[in-house]
Amino acid sequence: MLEAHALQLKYPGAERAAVAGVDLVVEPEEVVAVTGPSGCGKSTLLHLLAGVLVPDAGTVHLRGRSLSGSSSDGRALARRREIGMVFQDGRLVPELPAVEDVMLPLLVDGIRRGEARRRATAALESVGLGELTGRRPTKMSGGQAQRVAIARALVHEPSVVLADEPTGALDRATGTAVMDLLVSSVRARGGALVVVTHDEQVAAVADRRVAMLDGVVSPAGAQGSASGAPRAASVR
Amino acid sequence: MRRLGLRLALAGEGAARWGSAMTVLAAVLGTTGLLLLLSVGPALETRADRFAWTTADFGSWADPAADADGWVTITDDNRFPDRVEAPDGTVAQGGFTSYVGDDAVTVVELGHAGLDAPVPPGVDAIPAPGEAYYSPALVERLAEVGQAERYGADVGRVDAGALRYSDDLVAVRGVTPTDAHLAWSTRVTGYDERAMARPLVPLELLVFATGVGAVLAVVVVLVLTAIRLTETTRRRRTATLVLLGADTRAVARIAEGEALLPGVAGALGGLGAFLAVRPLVARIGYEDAQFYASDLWPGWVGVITSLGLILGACLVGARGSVRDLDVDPLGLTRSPERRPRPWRWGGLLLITTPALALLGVPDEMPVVAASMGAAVLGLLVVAPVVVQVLGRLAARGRSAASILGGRRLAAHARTHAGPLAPLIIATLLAPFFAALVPAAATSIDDEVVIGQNELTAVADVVNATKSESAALADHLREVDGVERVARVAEATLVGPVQTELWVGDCSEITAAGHLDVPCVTGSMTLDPSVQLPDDDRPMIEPRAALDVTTDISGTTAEETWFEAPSGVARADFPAGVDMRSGIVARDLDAADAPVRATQLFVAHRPGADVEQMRTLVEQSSPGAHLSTRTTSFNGLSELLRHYYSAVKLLALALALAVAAVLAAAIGFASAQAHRGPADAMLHATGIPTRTLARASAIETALPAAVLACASGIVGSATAVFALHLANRPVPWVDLGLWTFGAPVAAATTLGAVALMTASRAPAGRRHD
Repeated sequence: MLEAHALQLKYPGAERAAVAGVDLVVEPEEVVAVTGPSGCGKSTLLHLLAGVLVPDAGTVHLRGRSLSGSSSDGRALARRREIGMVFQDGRLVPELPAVEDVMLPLLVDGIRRGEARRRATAALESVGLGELTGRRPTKMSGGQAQRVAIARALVHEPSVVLADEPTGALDRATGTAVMDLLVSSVRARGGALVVVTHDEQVAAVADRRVAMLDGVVSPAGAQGSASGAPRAASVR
Repeated sequence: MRRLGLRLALAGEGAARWGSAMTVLAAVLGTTGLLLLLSVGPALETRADRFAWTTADFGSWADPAADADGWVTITDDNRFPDRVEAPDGTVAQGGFTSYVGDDAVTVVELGHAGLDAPVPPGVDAIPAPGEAYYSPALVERLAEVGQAERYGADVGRVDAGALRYSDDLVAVRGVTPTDAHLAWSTRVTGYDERAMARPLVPLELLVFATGVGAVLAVVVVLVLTAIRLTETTRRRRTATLVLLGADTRAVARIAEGEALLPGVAGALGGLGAFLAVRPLVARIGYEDAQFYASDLWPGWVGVITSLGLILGACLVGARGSVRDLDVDPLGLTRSPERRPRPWRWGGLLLITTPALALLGVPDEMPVVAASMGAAVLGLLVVAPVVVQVLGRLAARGRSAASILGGRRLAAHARTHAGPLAPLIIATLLAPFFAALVPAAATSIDDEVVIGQNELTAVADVVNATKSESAALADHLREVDGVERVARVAEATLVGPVQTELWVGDCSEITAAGHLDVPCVTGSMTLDPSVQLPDDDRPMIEPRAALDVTTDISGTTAEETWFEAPSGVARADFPAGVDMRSGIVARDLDAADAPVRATQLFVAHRPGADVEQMRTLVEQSSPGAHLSTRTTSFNGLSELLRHYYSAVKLLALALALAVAAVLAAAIGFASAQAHRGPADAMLHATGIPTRTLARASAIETALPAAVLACASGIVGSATAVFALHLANRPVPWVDLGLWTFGAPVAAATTLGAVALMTASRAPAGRRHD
């Protein structure tokens, strides 16, 4: 589904590459956790996978189509059709009520307002927030806001969801609940999930873990989950 | 996407609302300014149409007293025939400009000439000789000075619909056809309702063009500044949208939608503000007259154009805010700031004005307009380069504040130069227009421009008989404050060079005219350029007074010939009545005097009853009127009056300056707020707040002062160029004040804003 080969990126002025020759293949319905210390290149890898950043070398393919070789508009199109993103702080728009925030990916994709509202409401109900469609993020708890973010990431039924520290700002109990919701929601739609995290508990939920250090996958980077063998994923 | 932007604009809170409010303010100011500018042309036209009936430049006329060859026979006392008949269906219309105090009065003289004569708009009928219609304001003004019915027995009011404005001073008086004819009347067969359109002079075009451009530029910068107020929030939101798949176009449309709602509200508010200020603006007046408020209307096309331009400016500003955006893993950042463009064509544009001045290329106002436009563009182009250089220089300083402020300036030269654009425009325009005020004011004090002494009034009585002028002189001597009256006959000397002379009692003329020159009996030469046989013969200065011992007996009033005499007397340039080249001593009361008085010089004390004098003069003979130094100036130069009119738009330049400083101040305050996290970090490392505040002040005030001074110098250079073309004196003191005083004031204001906003403890701020 999502394949990255020999990815390399060095920020201007940096001494070393943030990502240096990473290969990663993510299969449908697979949950992959990318772990590592701060500054190891996890988030950069995630943004390369999302097409937000363009690699200096290497390729990213999503469902067989080259993402890294696409134009800016082409990558934006891929993000709004095929990719959902969840962030540590939710990145909700403070001016908008929950339902309109969840509508954003659909509106950006040109879907009519009525249809977008219907689908957004359904997405919010699926994450248990059917009662809070009109509430703004400033009036929500961290857990509720992150649920809205999950609904927004899933509302356009992406084939892969990329999550960057999705529970980083939440307490343990809420974080667990949010992570469970994210994984179950993605799997229920047949999608894949790549989650960047420091949290061992989050990583433990994944089917596979990829540990990074200084921009490369560490020698012991390919690990199966505690509960099961690695699925058809490969890390080289 | 625009709808989403509208939704975001409606839902904004805190800084977002301030940003929206500022966009509304920008649109209100811009729309009001544009509508006012676009209204000036139609207002002039509408007013001229309404008042067209007073200028008898329509219809055809022929001299009814002329013979078949077109010559008019002059009677013994040099007056035209006693009676002039005119055919039916015409009216003889003349007129002149009178005054009450310094206020001009339009006097229309109508000579009833036969049946079915057309009646001009504004009056019920053609008044009989000795009767007059008065505008309501004129009745009040004449009553104030105790000269009611100056122009004839009051028989009614001039209709408001035929006046230029409600307080217009107009009299329509009846005269005999003969008197009307003597006062250079025109035979009118009908009244048009449209005046000849007066094209805008280049200076006005320059003012309007720069005004429109400046208004739009200020709107764009204000909108950009408004957007900066919410930049942190917007960046995060835009980053989210980009991560959700929004492309650049979608982001731009959202930004446009966000600016659209306050833009529309502001544009409509500006329309309302325009309607509200119209009555006030109409009272400012232009070209010697005010307007009715309804005259200031640019038409629906103008209104729609203005609203469209303002909304366009808002959208341009909004699009400008999403330029150079990049998304990175931490959110959204701007691309590394591009290096300021090098001087190249900016420098070329900047040297346009001095180059043209030095080369003395075409002496026309469009050249000034072009050079001014080039100067504005040049300054805007080179501004970031100047900021960068200033930053590097400041960074060489020893203090931490200087280094910090200088480094920031050099690193973000374009960002710092942007909010200064309105200030650059305003400080360039202000000295240009300000220079014209003292230039015009200096003109009225300049004896070269106006030779008439303020204690000498001059009565023109070109149609008075000998007895009428003598009687008038006697009456004037009885007026309170009048010291002496001299009768003067104007004559033309035609020799090698044609020149004008006065005929009369030399001592009386020089005394009444306050001419500080002796009356010397002698003969004269006429012009230094005239080559005469005797090289040793001194030349006489033009305007020197002397008695000319030339026999003029047997000559006529129209053509008095003199032989060019030899010998000379000379005097320094006098400050009195505009002098002729010489005075021919003759007793005008002598029975054999070949000429009659056409002027009376009236010497008076300060506070003399000039209005009484004017009434006596204007009732004495057809077309007679009195001029003072002030009224002479008012009627002197059309160009000067254009200057006077144009400088009233100085108010616009000043308003722009205020708006510019406001915009820049808000921009810097905004930048300061967004710099909070960085300052907080520096503060946490031990750098005192005072140092941070000084760095901000340097960062803010230094480029503002330097760029404003530079633009002030360029504006002043353009003003000097314009004044040189118009042959007007240059008011160096005023120019200096505006060139350096205004920038210093602006920089001080901005520096104070920076100090105040930066003096708060950075750690105490709340950041997104």
